[in-house]
Amino acid sequence: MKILLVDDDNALAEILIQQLTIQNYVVDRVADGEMGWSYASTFDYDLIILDWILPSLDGLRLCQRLRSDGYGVPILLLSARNQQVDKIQGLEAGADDYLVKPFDIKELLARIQVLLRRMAAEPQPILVWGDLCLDPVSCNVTYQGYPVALTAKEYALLELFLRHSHQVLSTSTLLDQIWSSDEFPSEATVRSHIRGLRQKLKAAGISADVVETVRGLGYRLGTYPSASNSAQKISSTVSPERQAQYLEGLTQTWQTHKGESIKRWRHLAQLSQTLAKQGMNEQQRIQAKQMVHSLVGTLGIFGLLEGHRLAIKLEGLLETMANTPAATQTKQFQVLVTTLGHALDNPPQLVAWTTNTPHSPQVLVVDINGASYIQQLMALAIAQGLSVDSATSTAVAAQLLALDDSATNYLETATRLPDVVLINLVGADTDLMLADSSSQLLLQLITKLNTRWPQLPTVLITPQADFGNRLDLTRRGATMVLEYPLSPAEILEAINQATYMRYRHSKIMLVDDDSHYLQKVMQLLQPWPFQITPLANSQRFWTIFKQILPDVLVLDIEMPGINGFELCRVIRSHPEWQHLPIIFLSVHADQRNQSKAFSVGADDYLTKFTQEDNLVDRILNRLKRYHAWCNQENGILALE
Amino acid sequence: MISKLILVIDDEEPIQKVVGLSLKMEADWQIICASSGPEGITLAEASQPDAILLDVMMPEVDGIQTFERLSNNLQTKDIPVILLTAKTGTAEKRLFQKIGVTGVITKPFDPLSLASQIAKLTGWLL
Repeated sequence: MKILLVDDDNALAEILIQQLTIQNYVVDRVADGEMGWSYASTFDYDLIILDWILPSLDGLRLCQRLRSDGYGVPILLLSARNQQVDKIQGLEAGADDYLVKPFDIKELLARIQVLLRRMAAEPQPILVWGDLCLDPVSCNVTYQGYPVALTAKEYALLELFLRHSHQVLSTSTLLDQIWSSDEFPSEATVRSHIRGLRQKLKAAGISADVVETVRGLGYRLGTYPSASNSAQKISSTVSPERQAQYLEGLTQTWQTHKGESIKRWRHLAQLSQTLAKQGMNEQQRIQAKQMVHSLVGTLGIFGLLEGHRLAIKLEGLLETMANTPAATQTKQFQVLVTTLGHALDNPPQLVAWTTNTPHSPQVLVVDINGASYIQQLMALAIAQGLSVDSATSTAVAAQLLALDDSATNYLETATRLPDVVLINLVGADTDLMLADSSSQLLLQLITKLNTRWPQLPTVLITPQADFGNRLDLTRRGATMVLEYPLSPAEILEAINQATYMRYRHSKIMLVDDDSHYLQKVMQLLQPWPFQITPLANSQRFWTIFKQILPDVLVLDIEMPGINGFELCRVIRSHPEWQHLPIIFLSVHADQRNQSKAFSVGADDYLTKFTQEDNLVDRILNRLKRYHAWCNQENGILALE
Repeated sequence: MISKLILVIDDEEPIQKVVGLSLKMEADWQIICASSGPEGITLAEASQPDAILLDVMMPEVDGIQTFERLSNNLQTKDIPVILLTAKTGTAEKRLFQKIGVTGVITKPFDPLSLASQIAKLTGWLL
């Protein structure tokens, strides 16, 4: 059972953590309301203990915010206020219980148990997986608002997966939970009902696999798809049965050795608590680096992707951090360590680590206030595989985005830009409105950004998202305007959506006479929202090309009739297609063919089977450059 | 497929186990394990494995020192040694090449192609 404790009283918090830990509760503690909001909206807790008086956002307002955002988790409010009117106010704000300080710790523990018992007995509110909703009260299932008709067993299966979203459920567990003993079901019955459920969800329009098969172990709820979630799937020649055996062995080994990783994490968690007050000495730094290094290796080996990525980030942070770190670094360290702790609860996965890591969307976060929820968001983004850079002033942001440097090569710079920029327009935790001077600087930044790089998506977070303000921000060039408060996970979803939208209309044409290889490349590009046109017959190239007018052309060299070099020459012979990105993807790795490709007008050259993991990266870079060129051309045309 | 015996020298027990699991599942190879450089050298002398997977970062005697001792030992000098490391910066790569190891495999590795990677580095046929 996990408890979030939000209390700024260090002495009381220490006692509570000690007592709750003795009772086997896992406790996360934060000292201010905004951090409380970040944690509660990011991680799953079974109960929240809130102090009323808190810095930045008081317990009462936090409670109201959590309830208005639909968080159903039990909340116990602690306060020194013992008037009846205070208790009523606390309960009306959404607290489930109210305890007056000073209190007896035994009474607190008893009240926690009552709340947890009550929670276990009550059904949860609506269960959600992306646009798929299941209402346990009305027993209705909808996708994007439209009803999905399921049989009773299919409904029960879906509810079970949604309630145990992080668990692999074995066939025997499903039989125990959903079928009564007098029904005499078999494993085939489960398979048949899961097949039925999948078919109906697919028919409702859900393209992703809601229920995933974990070979040899059972089934689990699939991961909700997003652009960042292009996790490397295993593409081994090893049989599925062996893969299942491996995963089973990996899971068992992790269970045996998980304790060692938790011990290392605890050490880092302790350091993160004392870092702000005492800094760290050289010995502590060396020890912390060893702990993090071991975690990087161990979590990677066990396929705990999120934890592995967070540990890598921590390793980098420890390299650059002084023994008395800056407040922002201390905060970043704390948030990364806490998020890492949660990632240790994930199950091992079968991950194919390749030397070429696939493209991860790059985000630039502009936050001049060092807001807690932005720190949390960045940790979450790192865990999900996004590449995150941050700017703590508009000057740094302008530099990173080359806004003032007109001397730099426009097209070259375009390829180095992030995929999306997130700008936080929310003020300090105590006052949501930004000071006028800061606000002006950020608004100027948005305008400049849109003028120089109109193709670059900009996501804004603002406390004022009324029509007038939204109109002003979109006129300045905002792609998405998000209204604060919202959880880090919601912001991350918006970032993914903006990245995804950016490449949604990009047309990629693949020409290769090997249709099996074409399929393989299409699978490789599948996580991205490109419009892909494969062509196996190069004789039909021109007809299809003129119909499609692609943004990127990927060519094989050797093809019957007309080869790739000839196609490239034809394209480049036309004045209109001088800037169209052309990438060769060929089995030939020799210098002669590469030189020839570039001499006939190719922009890039990759070798099949060894370098194709780089294809997405290269396509995205070429698209950034090509879109920048198109914008530049359009600008010139408009001026003319 | 010819079965091989691989000696894994790594101070992390979970990594020894996962390597064992990977090699077993992919190619049915066997492993023997040592948790330190000196223990690994003794085991290499006694069991004459087909290859050694050697972790670079180990306390006291690190992977590089262990490799040097293995290379200077008449009984172990001909056994191919592959370094297992998370560090693959240019400087490290240059050092690894210079000292003459058979190859380097980066951690985390692709679990179900580990045997193929070892075979590729040693020139074995899988």
